[in-house]
Amino acid sequence: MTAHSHLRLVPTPGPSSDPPPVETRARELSEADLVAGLVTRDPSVCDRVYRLYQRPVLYMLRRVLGNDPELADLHHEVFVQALQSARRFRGDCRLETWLIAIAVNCARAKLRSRARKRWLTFMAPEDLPEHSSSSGEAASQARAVYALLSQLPTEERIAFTLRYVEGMTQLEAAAAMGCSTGTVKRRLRRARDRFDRLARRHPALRGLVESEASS
Amino acid sequence: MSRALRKLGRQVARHQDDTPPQLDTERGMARFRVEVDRSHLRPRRTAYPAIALAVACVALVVGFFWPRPPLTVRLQDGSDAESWIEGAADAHFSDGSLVEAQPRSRWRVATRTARGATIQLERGGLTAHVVHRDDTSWQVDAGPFAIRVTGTAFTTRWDPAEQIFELTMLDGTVVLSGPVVGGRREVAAPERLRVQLEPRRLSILSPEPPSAAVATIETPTAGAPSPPTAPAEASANPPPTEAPRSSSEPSPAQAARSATTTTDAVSWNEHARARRYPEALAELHRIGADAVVGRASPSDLLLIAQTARLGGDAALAERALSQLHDHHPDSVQARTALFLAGRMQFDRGQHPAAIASLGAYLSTSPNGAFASEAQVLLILALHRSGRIDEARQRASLYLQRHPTGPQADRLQSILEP
Repeated sequence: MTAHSHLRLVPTPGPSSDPPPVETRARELSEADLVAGLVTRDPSVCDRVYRLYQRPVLYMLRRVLGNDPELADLHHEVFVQALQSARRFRGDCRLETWLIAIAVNCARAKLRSRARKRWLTFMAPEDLPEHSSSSGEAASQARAVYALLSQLPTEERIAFTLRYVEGMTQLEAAAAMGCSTGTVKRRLRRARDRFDRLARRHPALRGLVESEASS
Repeated sequence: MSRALRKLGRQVARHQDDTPPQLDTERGMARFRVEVDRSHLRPRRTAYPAIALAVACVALVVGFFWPRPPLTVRLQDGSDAESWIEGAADAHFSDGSLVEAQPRSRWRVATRTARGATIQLERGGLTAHVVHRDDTSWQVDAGPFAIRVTGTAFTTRWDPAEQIFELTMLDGTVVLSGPVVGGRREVAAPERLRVQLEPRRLSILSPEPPSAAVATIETPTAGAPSPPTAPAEASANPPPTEAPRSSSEPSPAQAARSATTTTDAVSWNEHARARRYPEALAELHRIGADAVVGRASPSDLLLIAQTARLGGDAALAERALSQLHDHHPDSVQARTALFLAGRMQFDRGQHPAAIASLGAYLSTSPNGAFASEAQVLLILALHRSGRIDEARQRASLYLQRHPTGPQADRLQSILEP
């Protein structure tokens, strides 16, 4: 699992009211201590884990799902799952990498659940709005991207966002998705083709795709 | 395309980074603490007990309804116990039961279930040691007799030529069904029972106490008056130490043992197939035997004839055989009817008629199911009707082909001057 050690994390956002930087806290307790604290449900260690990793997890969820109204719930779910499965953490990758993989899994489960519900309620994917209060060209472009992504199969969507939005290498994406790089390549190829076809029909993205094709 | 996508992705990521998601960290942490406290206070919940319980329940249900495999049987020489076996052999069953066949017997294991087996004894004798269990279900079919066993040891013999059945209880009880004995008769150790079909005679031999008697019951044939009880014949049957006692009716004790389970709802052929001949005959007469004979199929006619013969209603047996012969002359059952007629005629001492019937059977079915028995009866009938040379000639041929066949000893005596 050396790939995990190279897994690039979401960029740390700028100054905010959030807890101190990861580096500062990590010096206080080793990862092994943190995992042991999760296993024993040590409240202070659990608090620390949450504070240290809540942001990377949240950003990863947002990368995959976009501005999702259930982001907060999913975020909570990631930590609950981490708590429940800490005993199975083998220490062959960084704790952060492990939490990111859990986040991708939670996002995958949510997307699949939505796909089932959509099928049951006959709701077209484009009917599901990209939840965002922001405005402007960048915001509308982001909304358009996630609207198209919602029409992709779950695995292709995850591969696409990890590779092109989060900027992971194929190796990192494979580690986060828990599959081989070959599988990631295949999913990416399909996701690209599908996204390209959809983007050509979307007014906000058509220009970008066509200009790329002409150049 | 990849370059454009990377560019697009970067723009989206930049936009997301510029507009950080709104998450109330303190509230999220409080939620997480609740979860930590809950799981800290609560013993670690795993699905294992529930899964184990579910698996156990499923196993219990499946195990309850899953058909158990039938018993296995092993012969000493490794031969197939479900084919007819000639001569002595021991069959060991997987439940610990043992069947020991005597020399010159012809028998086989007809069916096997998880609870027992059915042994067919065509001729000869066998001793069965059946291991008792709550649901044991064993049966030994000896000629027209059925011995139902739930765990016991006994020895039985069936002589098809002499039409004599013997049952010696070694341990426990069995329920016997068949001609003369009635529908169901419980026989308990140390009882010995001997049934002769022609003339119809049931002898119950009790070896203990020393003064125990031999009960010989001459059962009247239905539709015909029973010959008077002959004490001399009765006393000839048991061993010399046993005092004879004759009766035309079963004793109260015997009557108590004889359980009749007939119900009107059971059809005559169900009774007949279960070897409850008196009940089958009673049902036939109740619904009109002649009418049944008039419209019966060849198979049913043969069953009526067998039932009537073994139940002691010779007149009905003859009517069924005549109907079979007259209305279904080309059927397989009509050929078997020839043997049955020959058998009946032989039993009555009508040897010329028996010779004709048995000869006709052998000419139409030289390899039929009853060919061997028909040969023996024909030789005996020829001998008894004074056609000695012809009987000897046939006996010699028969013994060359079947040196250990049924009645070989008896036929050997015919050859002796």
